[in-house]
Amino acid sequence: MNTLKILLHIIRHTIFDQVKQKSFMVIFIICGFFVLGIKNCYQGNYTINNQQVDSGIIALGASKVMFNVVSTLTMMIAALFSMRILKRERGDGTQSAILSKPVSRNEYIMGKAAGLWIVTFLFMFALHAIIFTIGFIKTGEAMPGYLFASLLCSIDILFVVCFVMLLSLYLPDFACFIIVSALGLFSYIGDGIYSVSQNRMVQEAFTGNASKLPDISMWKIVYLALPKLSTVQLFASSFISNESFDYAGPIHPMINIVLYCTISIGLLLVLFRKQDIA
Amino acid sequence: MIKIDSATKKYGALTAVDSVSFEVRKGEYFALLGPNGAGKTTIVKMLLDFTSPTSGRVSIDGIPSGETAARAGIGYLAENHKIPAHLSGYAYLARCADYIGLPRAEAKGQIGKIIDIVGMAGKERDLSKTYSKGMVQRIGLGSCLLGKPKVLILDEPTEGLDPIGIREVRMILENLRKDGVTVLLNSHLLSEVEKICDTAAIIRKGKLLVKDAISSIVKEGENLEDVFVRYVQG
Repeated sequence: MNTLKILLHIIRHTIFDQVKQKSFMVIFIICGFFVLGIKNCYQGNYTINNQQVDSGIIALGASKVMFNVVSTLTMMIAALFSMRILKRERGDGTQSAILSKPVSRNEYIMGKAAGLWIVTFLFMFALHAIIFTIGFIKTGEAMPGYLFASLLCSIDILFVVCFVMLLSLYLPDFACFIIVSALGLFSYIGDGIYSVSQNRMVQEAFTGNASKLPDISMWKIVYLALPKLSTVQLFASSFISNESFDYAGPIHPMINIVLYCTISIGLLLVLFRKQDIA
Repeated sequence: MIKIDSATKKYGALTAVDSVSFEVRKGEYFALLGPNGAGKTTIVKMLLDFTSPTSGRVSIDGIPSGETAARAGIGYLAENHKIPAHLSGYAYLARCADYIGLPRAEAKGQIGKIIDIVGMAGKERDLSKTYSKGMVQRIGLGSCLLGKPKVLILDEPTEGLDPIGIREVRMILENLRKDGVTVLLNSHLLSEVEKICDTAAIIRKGKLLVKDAISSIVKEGENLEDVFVRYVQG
């Protein structure tokens, strides 16, 4: 049987197993209610300095905020799903049942990662689609870049899935979750500091005062080397409002995440091959 | 059909399998016996490439066990076999058929027959969380029969079964003889092993103590249990 067929079977079964988990449905329903809650943001009139604010601007702002909230939330959910999949399958006999058949370990791992990625992406895409639809119904204006931005964010999810699965080979569930959350947090803080350092006002404040300028070269290296989870999100959300995306780093954040995904998948395949199957 | 050549498996300082060699011929019913921790499961794991030998060679039908193709004609029933709680027996078998690569129509036909063979007709659509241990074991045995395997590796296949179930398993295995299926059986139920198998190997502390036809090992006035105790207690 060819690899593609086996992969498709594993992906299909992984998606089914994940959706059948009670926790999946509970999280999805909670998130759905949370997202539906923003429909009130589009109602009523907003006045600033006695001037009526255009409802389209309000809708765009609210939708953009929700886009980032949902994307971040989904990354955390992806970590929750991924951290225990290999241990669960080892425990319920699925892993040994699959690997005793003519299925290679690479096919198994790729199928699991792809299945989790797809199911988590669909989870995020459904929530983004709800926000998109609410915005469209309430304002009559569609944001064509919204769903495309959601697609772009799926690369972040792929990284989280692969990285957490890799960590879960050796670390307890909770440690995997903490590590990937810390990585995400560093990415957000790093982006914040980086954008402040790029701010003209900040740069001018330090002009001619080089001694006061903090040495950020080391910090910059660390920042640029980290996975650009938050930067990819910023890049994706720039498509919602058709803004330009200014990023001065040496590698585009999408390429950065693709590289990290490749490294994580590569390590996952190599290290899983060395593990004993229970 | 199955060849284990000077296979050794070490876990740090512990030697789980110590230079074990034996061969199982095509159509032979072979029992792997030994006390708990003797290394039987490690040998099974090496056959399925669940773990790789520290040294030596393991092959099935001439193909090194490390290659995926070696598992193409194997049916494997794990000790304490489990089925995910949200799957029915039928869904589980359908999944196994997917991984073997059976076309859907053929899988449907085979699953129908297998459900009858393992005595699960009428219960195959129930979720496995409602199954008894014996029923899970029956479905597990059924999954091994999918795709008409050339080799069956059964780790405690009668565990959880009542005497009638045990007899049924014996009948199923006896019926497979005419198809030339090779069976490697790992069981503590020595009376059943004696009835089913042609050859037995006794392992203790990772070392192969004896491997011969059961009729040769068991002397007059003895049974396999006596032989087992004699070898294991040394």
